[in-house]
Amino acid sequence: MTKSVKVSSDLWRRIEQCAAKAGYSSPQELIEHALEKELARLEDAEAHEEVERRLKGLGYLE
Amino acid sequence: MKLLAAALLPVLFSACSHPGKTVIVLGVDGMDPNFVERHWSALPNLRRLRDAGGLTRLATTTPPQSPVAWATFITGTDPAQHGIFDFVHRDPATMQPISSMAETIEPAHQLAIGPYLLPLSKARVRSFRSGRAFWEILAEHGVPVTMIRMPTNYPPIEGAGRALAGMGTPDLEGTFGTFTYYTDDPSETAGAVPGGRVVPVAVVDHRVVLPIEGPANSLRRDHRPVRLEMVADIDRDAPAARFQVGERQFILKQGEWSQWIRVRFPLLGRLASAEGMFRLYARELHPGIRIYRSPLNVDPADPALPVSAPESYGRELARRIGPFYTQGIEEDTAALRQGVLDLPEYLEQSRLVAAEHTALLRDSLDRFHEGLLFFYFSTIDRDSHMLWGQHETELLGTYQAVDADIGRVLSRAGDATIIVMSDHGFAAFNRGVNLNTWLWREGFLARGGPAASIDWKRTRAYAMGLNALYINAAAPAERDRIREELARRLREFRDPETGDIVIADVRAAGKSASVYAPDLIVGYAPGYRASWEAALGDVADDVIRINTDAWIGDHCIAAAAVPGVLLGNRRPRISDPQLKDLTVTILKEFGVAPDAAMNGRPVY
Repeated sequence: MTKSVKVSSDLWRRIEQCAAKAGYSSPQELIEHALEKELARLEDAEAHEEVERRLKGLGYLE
Repeated sequence: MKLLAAALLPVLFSACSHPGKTVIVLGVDGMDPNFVERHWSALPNLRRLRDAGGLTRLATTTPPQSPVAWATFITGTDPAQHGIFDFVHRDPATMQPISSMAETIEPAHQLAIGPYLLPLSKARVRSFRSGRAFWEILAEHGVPVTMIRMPTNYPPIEGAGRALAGMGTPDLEGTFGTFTYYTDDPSETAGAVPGGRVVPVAVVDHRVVLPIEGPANSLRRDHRPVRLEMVADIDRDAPAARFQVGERQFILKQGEWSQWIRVRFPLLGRLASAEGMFRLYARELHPGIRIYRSPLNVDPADPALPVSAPESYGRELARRIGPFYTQGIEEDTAALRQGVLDLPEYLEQSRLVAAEHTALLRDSLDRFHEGLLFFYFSTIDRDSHMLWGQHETELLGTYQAVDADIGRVLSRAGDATIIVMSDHGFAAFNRGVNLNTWLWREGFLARGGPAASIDWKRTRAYAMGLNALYINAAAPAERDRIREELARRLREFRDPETGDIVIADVRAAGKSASVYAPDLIVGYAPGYRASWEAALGDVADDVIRINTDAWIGDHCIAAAAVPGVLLGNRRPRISDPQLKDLTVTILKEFGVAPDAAMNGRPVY
């Protein structure tokens, strides 16, 4: 299942240019790659916060 | 000559095997020799042991932290061998802090159905401790073994007698303890606080809804926590309320603690659930609402996590003595630190824990006829953190409760060898030290980027955990040079305000195969400790801050300043015993040879 997302014309033009320059097969591929990368970063930060939350129950740190 | 001795050792040990032998070891976390010596007249059972075998100071580990020290006692080896160096380790892959004690490994294969991910194998819990536990060796020699709440024994070792897990055992949320505080006071800040969460609630028509956040649902793709609701109907005429959660109803008056309340969190409709339990404290029911809920504990009668070995042992205990705390750190020091409980309320909660210990001890003694019984007491350690140096009378009350339990053991012990030991003593915690800030000011650590985070490319050394320092260089010669320079500069480190020595001891962690081994262990002078934010690797504005927290005592300092105690009904034949000496001593009592890695000396 796929979903549509709207982006401005300006941003789309930049995506097209960068995708071609960086060797992506399509703008879609660049968008998916960029989103995956950002999501992984945010999920890592979330996992790190969760580890810290768990450790704080020790009492020795905050 | 050495070879001959090594070859003869097992023969000598097996030759003095003692079938029918009984040994009782009482492990009292944080019992301090100086405190005991100040109060002999109020501690009659410890005094009896002193008269029989004397009180000896027991050298602790470097660093003197509970998981490190107990792992040394368990394995008879130094931290470099057993691989636990601090409460908090650095994950070398991410440079982030992790628990040093255990990790949960999710099942490798899962089946995805809609929002659910169904595991095709069980999740595992892996202890980070290396080396063999001494009671594994005893069990192999047919010695009956019961281990009650040994720290860093989570998950408890299977197939080596009966064991209840201790420090390191998580609550049902997977943390080391997360309380919940419900309040309708708008001045309270809602959200997560260290060790807990504050949940705003509103009373509508004398009724208040109290949400219960349960464990992350591991069967869902998004791991969304499972939530339940509890309802409290406030009495219109008196400060009391009727609570209902699921089918369970109970009434509490203001100022009362509930019994353990069991709850079931559905994970997959009726097909899978996680069972937990909590205690409530009705701090205020009129005119405002202030209710404390303990962390969700694993129910020993229906365990969602491996809190006992065999699993049936926890169930048997719960059937005989009722439900009891299973989380590793039971006393809620975080609730006191956050002002959710005041000191008398905290001490009441600590006494509830102590009463459960007494029930567990009585039950263990009733069933102990032969072999080894190990029993762990936690309350002196946790209460010392909150009372040390400022509330001597209250702390003596905690010592007296443990002394009474020791009396119960003495009255039932017969000809058993009795050992009372602690992993470390205590000192005041007056001033917090942020070593990363010191490293930054001294040019060992660099900061950069918009959040002034650590610039790893330009950083040569950094601190994480309560006593650990790491060097950030690959070449061995460069590492050695930085280590030597750092050690020298740390020894010269003086408190800018007082001129006092801040670091009493700096030493290398020792050659270790562990990827978690730090490069240096820092032993603070008494009065100092790592600052609150430093343990997770943060850099603060000040190198030293006055500790204004309710947590006023600590032991994560130079080992020589906080020895533990050794008492028993036999007199030690060595004057400078260490924790690892006790490991081989216990084996020797049963005529069992120590493991090759154990390098302690028998105390008797």
